[in-house]
Amino acid sequence: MNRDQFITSRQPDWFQFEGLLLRAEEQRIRNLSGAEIAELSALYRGLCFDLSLVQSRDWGTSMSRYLNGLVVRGHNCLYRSPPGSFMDFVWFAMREFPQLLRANLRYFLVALVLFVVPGGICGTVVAIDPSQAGRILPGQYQAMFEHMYSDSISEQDAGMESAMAGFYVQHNVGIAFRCFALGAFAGVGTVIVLVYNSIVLGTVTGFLIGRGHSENFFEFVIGHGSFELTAIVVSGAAGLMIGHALVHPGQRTPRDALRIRGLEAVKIALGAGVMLCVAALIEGFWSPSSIPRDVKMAVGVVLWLVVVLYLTLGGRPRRRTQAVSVSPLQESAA
Amino acid sequence: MTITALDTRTEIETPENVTLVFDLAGPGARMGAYLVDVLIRAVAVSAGTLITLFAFPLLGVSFPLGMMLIGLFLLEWGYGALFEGLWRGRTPGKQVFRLRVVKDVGSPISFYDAALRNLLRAADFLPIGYGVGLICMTATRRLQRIGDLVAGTIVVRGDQHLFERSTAAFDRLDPIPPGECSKSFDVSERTLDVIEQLIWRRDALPQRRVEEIAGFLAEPIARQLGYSLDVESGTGRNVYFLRRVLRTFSTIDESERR
Repeated sequence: MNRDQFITSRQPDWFQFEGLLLRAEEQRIRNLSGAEIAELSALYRGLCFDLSLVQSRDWGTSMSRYLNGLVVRGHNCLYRSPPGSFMDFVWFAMREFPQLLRANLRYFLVALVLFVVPGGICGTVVAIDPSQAGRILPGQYQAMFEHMYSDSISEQDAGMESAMAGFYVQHNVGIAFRCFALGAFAGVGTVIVLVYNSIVLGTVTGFLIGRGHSENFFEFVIGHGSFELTAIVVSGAAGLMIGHALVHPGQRTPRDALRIRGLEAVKIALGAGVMLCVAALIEGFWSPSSIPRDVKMAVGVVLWLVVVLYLTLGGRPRRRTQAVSVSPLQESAA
Repeated sequence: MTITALDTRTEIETPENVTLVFDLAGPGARMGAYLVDVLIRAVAVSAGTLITLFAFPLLGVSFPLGMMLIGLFLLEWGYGALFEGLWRGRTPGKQVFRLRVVKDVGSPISFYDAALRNLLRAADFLPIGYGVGLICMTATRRLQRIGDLVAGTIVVRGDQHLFERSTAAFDRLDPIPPGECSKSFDVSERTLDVIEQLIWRRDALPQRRVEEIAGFLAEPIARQLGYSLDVESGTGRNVYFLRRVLRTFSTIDESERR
């Protein structure tokens, strides 16, 4: 068969494929009938064969580019990841995210140490001697924090709850995502973000304790702190996963290590984002409310328990499903 | 089909064992697409600000402001991820420049791939104006920034190539009779391809230049065939000869060659 005969015999199929493809692209593949999809798939396979033939026989750059373009479009049409839905999101938040975090527990523990130890040291030192706070916290910030927590915190932002919640989403989720993304620099960026935030938060906490404002302070932060602080550590864990895959890919090539761990890492980082949205709602509406302090403290403790239980138990398989099933084959063999 | 070190193309093998060729998008086109997206986001922010200001008297300050801040967050972190994840690897800017994000194995990207490569913009953006991303793109074979490397994605050009039946243009030409060729009667497919490429592009070049380039092709081919070019005369002789070669050899069978 020469080039001319090849084109004459195959071109009708190409046109037919192009027509079906155009419909599949413009109206979503769902709107094609079953027979049409089967036809599309058969034509696609024929087209793949034609492309190989043209490539191996050097039958023209223009023809090969044309067929290449059609195959690429067909490939993109036929191989598509399933579309997401709201139930997928619920499944992700309730099961997949905690499962993934537990599967990568060591990164979480490293991030936890990085986030707790520097702040813990600074906080202890400053709580004992609040005059040391000036080493980290400039004077005007000390005055600002003292002013904020010297009176009862309730009703301070009265009427601005929605705006504050929106601000916390924008600000805190941004920090968490940046903390994750900067893990791409061998994890160094993540470590810096974690340690920096740890030192600042630890110092502020220590300063307020040292100055005797701890009751007002903890009344405000205990509720949302559960989701917020945990989520920052979670995003740090995700950043460290990426950094570790780059520095120490193990038995895989760096590319494969990234491909596998990157997907898990981004899911964990998105989970941290969801946790921070929950925290923003608590911080905007619950924490500054005029509910009695004892109630807020009690609910705060419950929220911490919820976070711990959510991350440790979420998505664990139920005992009953673990029962061993015996297949007919094994039975007959026995 | 030759892929050289200079070509910004990449080959991907599909499950059907076909090698697909993708044209990679360079920093220029991607920067252009990015600027279009920045512009769209700027317009969205302006519109959002206006709506928020108009909503103040109706809904109070707090709620519209909160919505505005969440909107800003979504524009900053969600724009690329949501568009690319839900619209087959495209943002409006990429659509303008006919670019698309695909996996480095050629398949479409999932929502998580899109989220990953877009969250990592925070790393690529450093220290200013995508400095790290640009360096990373120039250092990798497939022009990937850090976000692309981690997510395993590439940005490709989505041009659609047209293919026209070449022989229709040569119907009025007579094929070269085998008798006029004293040596061989065969021209390789690859050479025919080069001729076809030249003839397709002749309208984009000055006529004399086309004739000059055609000369570089026509003379060795005529020598190989043992065909006397001097039979034809006048300007356009070389192009005319090449068209006849294309007409002749794209329609004959293996057995007629010698």
